[in-house]
Amino acid sequence: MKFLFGLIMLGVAGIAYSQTSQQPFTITISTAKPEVISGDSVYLDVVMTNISDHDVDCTIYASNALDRNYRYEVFDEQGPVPKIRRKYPEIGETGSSFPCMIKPGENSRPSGGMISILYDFHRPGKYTIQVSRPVWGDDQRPGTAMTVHNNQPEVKSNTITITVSGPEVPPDLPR
Amino acid sequence: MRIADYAPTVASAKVKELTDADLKKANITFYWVYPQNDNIPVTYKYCVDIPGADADGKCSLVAKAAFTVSGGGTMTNTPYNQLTIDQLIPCENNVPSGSPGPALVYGNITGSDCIANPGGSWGIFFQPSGAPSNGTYSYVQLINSDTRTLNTISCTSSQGVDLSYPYAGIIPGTNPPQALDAPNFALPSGYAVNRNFNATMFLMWTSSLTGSIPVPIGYQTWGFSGSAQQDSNGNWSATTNGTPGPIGGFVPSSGAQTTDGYTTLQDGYPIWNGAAAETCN
Repeated sequence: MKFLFGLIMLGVAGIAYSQTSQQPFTITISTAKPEVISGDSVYLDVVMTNISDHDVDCTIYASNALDRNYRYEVFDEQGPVPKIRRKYPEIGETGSSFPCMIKPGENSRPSGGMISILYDFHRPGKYTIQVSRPVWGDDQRPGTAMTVHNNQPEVKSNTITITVSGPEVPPDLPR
Repeated sequence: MRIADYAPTVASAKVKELTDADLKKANITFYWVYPQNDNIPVTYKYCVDIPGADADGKCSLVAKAAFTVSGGGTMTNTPYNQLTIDQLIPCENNVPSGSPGPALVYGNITGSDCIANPGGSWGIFFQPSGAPSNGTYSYVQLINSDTRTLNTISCTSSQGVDLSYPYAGIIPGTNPPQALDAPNFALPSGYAVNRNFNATMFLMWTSSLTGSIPVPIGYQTWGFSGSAQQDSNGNWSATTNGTPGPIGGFVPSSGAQTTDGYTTLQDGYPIWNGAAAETCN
C-alpha cells in the first residue's frame, strides 16, 4: 500500500510540474536494465531538455559514479529508501565538474550513473526512482547561478521502476 | 577487422563479434571498424538446394570484390602542470552555498562543483582531428586506478567507465568536441592526504551513414600523483609528484589490441563492467 501511495505521490508531482509552463527544462530518466538481481548495481541515464527560449546550464558533477547535480528519490514497497550512510562521512568524495550548456530545444548528453552508490537496492522487490534538479539563477541561464535567485521550483523527472529479484544478497555497506 | 555490433551502456560494454555462422546467413550485418587501404577482398557465392542436382549445379559462381576502408584521426592533449589548492564553493542540496573551502585539484578551477566556471584551467583536455568529415567524435574514459589516503583512511576506486557513456565532460561550444577533466576533492581539516590517479581517454568516431556504430580511433593514458598538507595555521599546500598529464603517447586503435596496459580491450574497443566507484576503509 505504501508503495502504491509513493507511486501516486510521484505521479501527482510529475503531473503538477509537467503542467507548469515556467520550467526552463525537463528531465527524462531511463535505465537499460530495469530488472536486476539482488547485489547488482543499478544505473540511470538522465537527460535534460531545454524547453526555454534561452541557453540552459546543465553542469554535471561526476562524483563517485553519480552525477550529484541531481537529487535522487527512491521508494520501495515500504516507502522512501534512506540514503546509504558512508563509512567516513567526514571526508568528501572525489569528483570532477563538467560544464554543460544546452541550446533551446536541445538535449544534454546523458549523465546519471550508478544510483546504487547512493541507495541500497539489495532487498528484492520493486523500487521507483525519480530525479529532480533545482532551478537556480536566472532560469538556469549560464553564468547567473549565484547572482539571481528567482525562487523557481525544482524540476522533476518522470519515474521509472526497478525490479530486484532474489535471492537476497546482503548489502556491502557502508562504503 | 569486422564485428557484428557495439552497443555499450554505462552498466557494461562489449563487442559482439561476427561468427562463422553469421557469414552463412542470407542477410548479414557487419562493420569494418578500422581503416585499411590495401583492398580488403570479399568473396561471395550462394547455393540453392535443388533436388537431383550435383554439387556444382547447386551453387553460383564466386563473385569477388575489393574494398578500401578509409579512416584516420588522432587526439592531442593539453595538460596542466601541477596540482593546486583551489577554494571551491560547496554545494548544498545541489545549489552553491556557503563560504569557499579548500580542495585538491588537478588543474586550477574556481567557483563551485554545482556550476563549473569556464574561467578556470582544466587538469587536461583533449582535442580530436583528422577523422573523415562525415561523422562525429565522442569519447570514452576508463578509470584504471584512483587511490587516496587521508591519514589512516584508504580509498580505492574500482576500474570502470567514468560516470557515463559516452563521456560527458565536453567543453561547451567546441566543435569538434573537446573532452576535459579536472579531478578534485574537498580537503578535510586535520588530515594529510595524497592521491594517485590514472585513466585512459578513448577517442571514438561514428560515421553519419545510417546504422553506423562508434569505432575507436585511439587512446591516451594520463594521470597525476600528489598530496596536500596543512601547516600549523591551517593553511593548505599542494605537492605534485612527477609530471602530471599524459603517460606515453597517443596510441592508434587496432583490432589486434587486447589491452591498453591497464584494462582489457576487445578487438581494440574499450569494454567495461560498470562505472568506476570508490570504497574507503
